Amino acid sequence: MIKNTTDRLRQNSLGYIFIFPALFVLVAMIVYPMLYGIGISFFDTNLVNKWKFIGLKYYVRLLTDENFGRSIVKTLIFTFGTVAGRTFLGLLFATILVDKRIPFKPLFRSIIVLPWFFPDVVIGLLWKWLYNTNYGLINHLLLGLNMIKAPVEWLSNSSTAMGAVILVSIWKGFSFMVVMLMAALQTVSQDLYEAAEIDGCGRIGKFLHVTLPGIAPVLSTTVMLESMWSFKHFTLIWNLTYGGPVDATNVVSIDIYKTGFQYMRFGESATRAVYVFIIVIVISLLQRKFKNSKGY
Amino acid sequence: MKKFTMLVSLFCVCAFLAFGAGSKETPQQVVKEAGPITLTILTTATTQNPEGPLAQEFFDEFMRLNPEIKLEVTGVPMNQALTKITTLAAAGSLPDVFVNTENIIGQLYDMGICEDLTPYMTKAELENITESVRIGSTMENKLVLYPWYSGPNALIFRKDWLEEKGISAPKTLEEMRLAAKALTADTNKDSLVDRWGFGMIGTNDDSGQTRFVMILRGFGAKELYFQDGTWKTDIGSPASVEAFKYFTNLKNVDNVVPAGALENSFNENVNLLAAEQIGMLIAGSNSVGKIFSANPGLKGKIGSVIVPSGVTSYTPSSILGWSVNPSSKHKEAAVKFVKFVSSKKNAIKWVEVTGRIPCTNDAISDSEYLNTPLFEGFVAGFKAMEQAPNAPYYAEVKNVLGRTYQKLILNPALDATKEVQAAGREIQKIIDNNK
Repeated sequence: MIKNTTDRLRQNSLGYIFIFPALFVLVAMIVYPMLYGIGISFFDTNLVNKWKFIGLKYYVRLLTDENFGRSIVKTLIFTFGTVAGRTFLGLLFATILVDKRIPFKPLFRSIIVLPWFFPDVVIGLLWKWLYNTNYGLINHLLLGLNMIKAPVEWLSNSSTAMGAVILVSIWKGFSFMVVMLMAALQTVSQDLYEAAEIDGCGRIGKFLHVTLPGIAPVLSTTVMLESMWSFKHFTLIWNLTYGGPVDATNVVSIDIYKTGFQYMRFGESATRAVYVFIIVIVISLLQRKFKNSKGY
Repeated sequence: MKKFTMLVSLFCVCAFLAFGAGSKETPQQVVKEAGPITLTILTTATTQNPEGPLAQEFFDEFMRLNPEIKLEVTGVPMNQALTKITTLAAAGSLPDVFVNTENIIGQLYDMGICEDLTPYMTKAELENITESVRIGSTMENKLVLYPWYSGPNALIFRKDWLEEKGISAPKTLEEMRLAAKALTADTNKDSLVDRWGFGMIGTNDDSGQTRFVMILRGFGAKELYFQDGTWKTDIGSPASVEAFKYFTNLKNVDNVVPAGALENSFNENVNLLAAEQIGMLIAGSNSVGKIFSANPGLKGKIGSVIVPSGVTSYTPSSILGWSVNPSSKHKEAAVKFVKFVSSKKNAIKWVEVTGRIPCTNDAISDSEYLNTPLFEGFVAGFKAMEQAPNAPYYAEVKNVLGRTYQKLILNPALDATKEVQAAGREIQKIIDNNK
């Protein structure tokens, strides 16, 4: 048995040597930071000279922390709004852009992916200016069209702030959905549409019974990716509202940042991050289960 | 195969934990230096305007006078300074000299990353630092922040507009409210208000929170204070409720604040003042440089007065300076650098360009610019500066205040007493959690 194992190791040694650099990078860049993050969640620490072991204290405290619960709810609203908006727009534009009758398709495709190329910080600052109550372009246009009587405080009103942030997030990221769905749509066989037409399907029927099942594997994977990215999203929201006004856009990533880098409670901040990690894993598992049940 | 991969992974993790995490002792600390000294500096000055070019001028001049010292300067925006310093300290890559302020001095001192500079200074040098600044720069009898400049807050106002209305500079909070009402006007007669009496920084950040604290303390309520060996709060008391009502009513009842109060940060309010859309603003002396740089036509039209009082007046300590890394190999050179930058000649030049007040007695008395009426309020504020609470969780307490005033501004129908009492309970919980 031992001889067998040694032989196998010797036989595969070259393979192990080849995978070692990739494995090393994976461990260094993913496994170690993750373990380190989980490790500090058991400490009351400033990461420099204070390392007080407190065990599961933060985990227990967060379970009854109303503010943390509220930030999770805000995150779910942001995630749902963003993913739903991106999916709707992605489907709409992808369907239009795969239509052979549309002229200048490469031009439209290039324009649509433009927001995706800009860094989040740039987009955040740009939209902050557009939304500005006093000199923003949106208020200026709406006032000019007599659609509003006074400037709207888009980002400093708790009833409009989350919607305004979600809108920017949708605008920034729907192009990824368009690209993915266009690729998926091109794989759906034309024969199926013809067969559906013969069976008496209209436009909606063809979309529901041919297009959607045809793109479902790509769509579900993209929705899962978008959900996980949106759940952890930070930059756009921070640049637009810093989590305010009051706590209207205080999603969990902002909560984690503030707890760590403003209040210097890195242990508690890491605990929040671990909870987010668990939630994202659960979302991923549910999605996988759903995919398997549908046989994708 | 699976077992082998797991073994390799485990080995890597152990190796990293052992060597990666333990690599805080940088090679710099082990290897003996040879040749000229390279001093690493982390500063906020180079990221700002008009401060940046002048700061660079000082750094170049220092290197010219000290050819054996080379400066390696990294800029960081003020709102990211604490994050950057903490990250560098945790990684064992803290520069020799780094920015420190009255807001973060407690946290950085707790981390043990600020050298006591007292032994590097003569008695005369120590005494030359203005008393309120020296107190604010000292922790447990150790001078851990070498002060460079101060930016005390005062009430900046449009002198010409107040004169037009026959109003003198407001000394009390009630006078300030009435003056703001008088200045708010529809100047072009299109039935829409286009000039506002008061620029409110209603953002829930340090800038907005600190200004609110000045009003809160003016009403005689303290957000956090140390008494009989424990931290306490007055939030929830009748005085604190009145302070919240006064502040939020400026927007909701008196209508003397421009739209977007909760998103208008310091920079936006300075721009509104420079654009002649607001008449008064609580701001630091540095804003004067920014206003004149944006609108030179306002020179001679701006005045300043110490922050108006209620039952009392409060100007929080505002100091920016340097701390020296205790692990630095070049402490003497570092101290030489910080002393040069804060020297009388440079401090006087600095105030004229940036409006930021020197921290030494000789520079203050010799600066003709500081003795102009424009700086009257700032100099008075500078002399009255009080140290803000240095509890490590003070930022969290201020965040509760910010959230509460934002909530009351957004929902005028809410019962202010109940909301302020709820904020008081939340602050008490923060205090209890940190006992």
